[in-house]
Amino acid sequence: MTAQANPQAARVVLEGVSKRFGQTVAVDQVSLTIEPGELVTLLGPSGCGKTTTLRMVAGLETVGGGRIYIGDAEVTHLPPNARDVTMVFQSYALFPHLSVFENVAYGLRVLKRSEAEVQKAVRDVLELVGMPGLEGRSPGALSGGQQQRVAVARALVMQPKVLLFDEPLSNLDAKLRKRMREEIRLLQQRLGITAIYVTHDQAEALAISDRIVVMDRGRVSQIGAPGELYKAPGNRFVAEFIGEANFLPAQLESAEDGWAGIRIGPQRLRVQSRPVAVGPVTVLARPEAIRITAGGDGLAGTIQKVSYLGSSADYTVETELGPILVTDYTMVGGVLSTGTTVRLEFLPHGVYPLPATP
Amino acid sequence: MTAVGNPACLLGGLGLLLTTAVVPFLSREGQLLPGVGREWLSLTALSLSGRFPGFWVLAVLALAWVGAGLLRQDHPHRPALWGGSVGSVLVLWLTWVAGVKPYAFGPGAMLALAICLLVLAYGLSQGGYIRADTFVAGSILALAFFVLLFILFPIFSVLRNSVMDAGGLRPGLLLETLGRYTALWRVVRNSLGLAIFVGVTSTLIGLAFALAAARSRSRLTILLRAFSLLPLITPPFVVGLAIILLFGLQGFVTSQLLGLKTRGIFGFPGLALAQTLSFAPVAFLVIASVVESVNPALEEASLTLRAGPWGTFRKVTLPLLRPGLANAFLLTIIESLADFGNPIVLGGEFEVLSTEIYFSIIGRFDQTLAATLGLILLSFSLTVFLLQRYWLGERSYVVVTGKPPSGKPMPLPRGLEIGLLAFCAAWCAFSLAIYLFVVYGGFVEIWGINDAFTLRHYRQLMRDGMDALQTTLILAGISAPLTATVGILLAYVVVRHRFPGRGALEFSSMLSFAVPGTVIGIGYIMAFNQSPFLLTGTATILVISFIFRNMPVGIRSGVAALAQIDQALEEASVTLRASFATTIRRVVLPLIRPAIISALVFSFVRSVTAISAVVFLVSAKWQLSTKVILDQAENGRYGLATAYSTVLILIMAAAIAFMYLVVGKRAAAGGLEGGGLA
Ligand SMILES: Nc1ncnc2c1ncn2[C@@H]1O[C@H](COP(=O)(O)OP(=O)(O)O)[C@@H](O)[C@H]1O
Ligand SMILES: [Mg+2]
Repeated sequence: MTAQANPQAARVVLEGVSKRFGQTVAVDQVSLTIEPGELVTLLGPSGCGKTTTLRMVAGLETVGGGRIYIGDAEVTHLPPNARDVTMVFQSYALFPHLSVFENVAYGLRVLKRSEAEVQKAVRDVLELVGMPGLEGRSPGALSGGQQQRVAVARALVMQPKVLLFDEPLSNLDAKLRKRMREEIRLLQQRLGITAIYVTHDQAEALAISDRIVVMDRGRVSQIGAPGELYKAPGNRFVAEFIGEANFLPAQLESAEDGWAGIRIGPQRLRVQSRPVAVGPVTVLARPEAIRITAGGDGLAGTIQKVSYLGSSADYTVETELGPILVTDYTMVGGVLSTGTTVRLEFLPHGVYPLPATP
Repeated sequence: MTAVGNPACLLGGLGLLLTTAVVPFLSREGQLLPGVGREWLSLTALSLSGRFPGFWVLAVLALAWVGAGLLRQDHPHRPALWGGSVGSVLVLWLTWVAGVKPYAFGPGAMLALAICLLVLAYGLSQGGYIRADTFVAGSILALAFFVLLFILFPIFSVLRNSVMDAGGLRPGLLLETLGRYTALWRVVRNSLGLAIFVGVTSTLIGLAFALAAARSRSRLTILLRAFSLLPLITPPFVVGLAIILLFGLQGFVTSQLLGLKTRGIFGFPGLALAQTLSFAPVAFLVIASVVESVNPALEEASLTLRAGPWGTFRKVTLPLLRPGLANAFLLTIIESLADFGNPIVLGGEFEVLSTEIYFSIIGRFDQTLAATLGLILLSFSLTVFLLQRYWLGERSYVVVTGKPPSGKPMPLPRGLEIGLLAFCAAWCAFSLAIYLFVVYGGFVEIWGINDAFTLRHYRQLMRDGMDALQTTLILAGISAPLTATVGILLAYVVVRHRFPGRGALEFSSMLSFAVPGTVIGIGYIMAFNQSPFLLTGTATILVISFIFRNMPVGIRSGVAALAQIDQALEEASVTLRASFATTIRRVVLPLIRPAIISALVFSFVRSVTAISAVVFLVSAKWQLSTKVILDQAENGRYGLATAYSTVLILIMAAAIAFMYLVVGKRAAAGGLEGGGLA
């Protein structure tokens, strides 16, 4: 990655970390290594245990089982204020009774830094997050985006070993969310900080992560770089959660290292694959990697439903393999209407045989 | 992982070593410290170890900690955890076996216990049993210890005294005592009958007030809110005295207006009236909060479904209020059962449990009977309390009270509104008359016999009553900040932290809502009038009883305030390296300031008006105002009693006005609820 070497940045290791609340198993045997300077996202649907995992790293939640290391030290049972980890909260958690300046200065004052040092560090970090000049304001008088920046500044000024984010953008509107995630990523890369970022928004995760940890019901479902998860999901859950997906029955006819020959309906194609046995398989077909043609020898179908989205059009096409979702970004032939009979052609880069799941 | 040394164990070990060697573990009964010199040295743990080998174990523990403190070890929390637990139990046990007459616990015992609990707290927090630091873990242990010693132990002592006398433990004693106490059934019937009657009347009046206050558009509603304050600033005998002045043998109504010479008001009629006057405001507060939380959309839905205002009121509104009504009813029963001030002045021949307990101790000197009756009273109160908690589902403090739903509440049907307002106005006028008569009574030579105006009672008050007033104000002033601290700290740990035994701590602290003051009072005498915990006759026990009787006020205020604060603020603070103590100081306290002030004021007010528990605990040296009023009233000297009451009312009105000024109306109202319901 482009990160500079940051001597503060630490490796974070989770070894079989678990947590239950009464009967609910919130986090189940999560093992994970985050390299120094890396931004790793915990991604998954609401309730899958992302926040709980993050809070155990911060020390805000007792660890039910397993161990956590930050840098060279085990921190499993250390209280949060002994961990050198800071966090940006979903609600920002800015102290309402303190000014912007005092919010950012809070941690430094706790550490009894000299006044000169506090002044300089706070102004520098507010500059860094693009918020100079508002030091005297009360947090309540700031916009959502500004509060977000103050929260990031307050966490950064401590130069933590690890920076944690719990859905930091979920209270912003869609446009601002996009801008803020780019800024957070740039900042993190520039400073070379180790960061763990929790979100349920797959687009956000794809956009900012070095690696993504997809979680499902408290377990790690798959870990990988964004492109890897999208192109080669390890299971149906990941495929479905990241991007749109069709799951189609297909025949795997040949397999050699890294490649597979498959047949979907009438079409034969050679696609990248992890080792899979010859025989019937389920393949993932991304909707944007299916071409709609008027003729040819592709899979025959009838358009059932059309959603026009401006830059693209979504079609649901009824075929012998079941309904298939197709996204057309070209719309060269205009928008088709329901009832049209069409042929579907699968493009190899968007088709991936899923490993048989137990 | 390895840790070099173990500072907590090292410090704890050294401290404990020092304590065992030079600090007197025990001291002479009634003294804080033994005399310096030989007696001092003869009472250190080390000197006592000759007679009680257990003290050697304490010294060995201290040495072991020092050793553990110097060694490198993988799990520094383990010696702290084990040593701390063993040490705490050991210190308590040693205090118990060694602290026999004429000796009681001394500074060494307290210090040793504090050290052991602190090291244990360190072990608990470092071992990950409590997700917090030593400060929070220590607070939890300290609170648990205090709750055990000052709430559960006294209750246990009542239990013990009912089955144990000079002849040792005899479970049959209980039945024997009841067998010789022939008035039992009458007293029980009186208490329960009165409580249920007052429960019904108070709930009905509370409902009328709540509906009128929450739903009427009349200006009168402000008056109704003020009415809810009355019982808070009312010293215990005021209502009873006023009823005597109005309806007694020389009563204004009975004697002067009607020309009757009757003592008929004494007993059930007077009591029912006095208690209804006293407790209807409590019922009002409970029901009003439910009325306000009724979602107007439900009533609007009913109206759109063609139900008229009356139909909607009967079929939608009233059923929604049912839990509030039940709650008010049960709370009033608890209050009525516990009431001591009214029955003692108005009861006459109509004995109830609380006064019978008092007379068993004060008149008959029969602790066994007092304990037995206390147990019966306690079991009634607890049953009702548990009903309220579990049946009505109000399981814990940690029920976040939702915001009142938005929308305009439905007005009452016109006829109902007018009726309610008229009734409430009349009742308020009656309440007001009560207070006026009390004030007036202080200026009359001899009520009903010589109506001449006089300042005699006030002069006598200046002469004889000032000591007690001063003691009252000083002790209430000392206990208020302690009560607020203990209550809010307890609220904080229970709301914000998860730890083993949290539910038990919460429940036991809530018990002081339910345990009648007379029972706590006799519990305190039984628990603390003998070694090793000797406290009776001191100001300390008065302060302690104020703290633990009023702690729920602090807890309620604290819980309500904490519910308003996003927990992430505190989490942000600790991840920014602040300790929990710093977090409390810099984040929590500034944000809950209004709750602190209202907790301070209300615990002060409640201490000044306390009677049922402290009546057993006052001494010639430490006399309280309410006890002085009681003595005057019992002797029929109503002039002085009412003059004294007037002064107390003024002091408390000033305290509450001060609070309104400082924290504003909303926070004050929040605290009011805490104060009124506790
Ligand atoms: N304090 C808690 N008490 C009880 N259950 C909890 C608590 N915190 C989280 N849970 C449960 O643990 C599971 C995981 O929660 P969380 O980590 O918040 O999920 P996510 O952040 O992925 O949405 C959920 O089922 C949630 O209900
Ligand atoms: Mg979450």
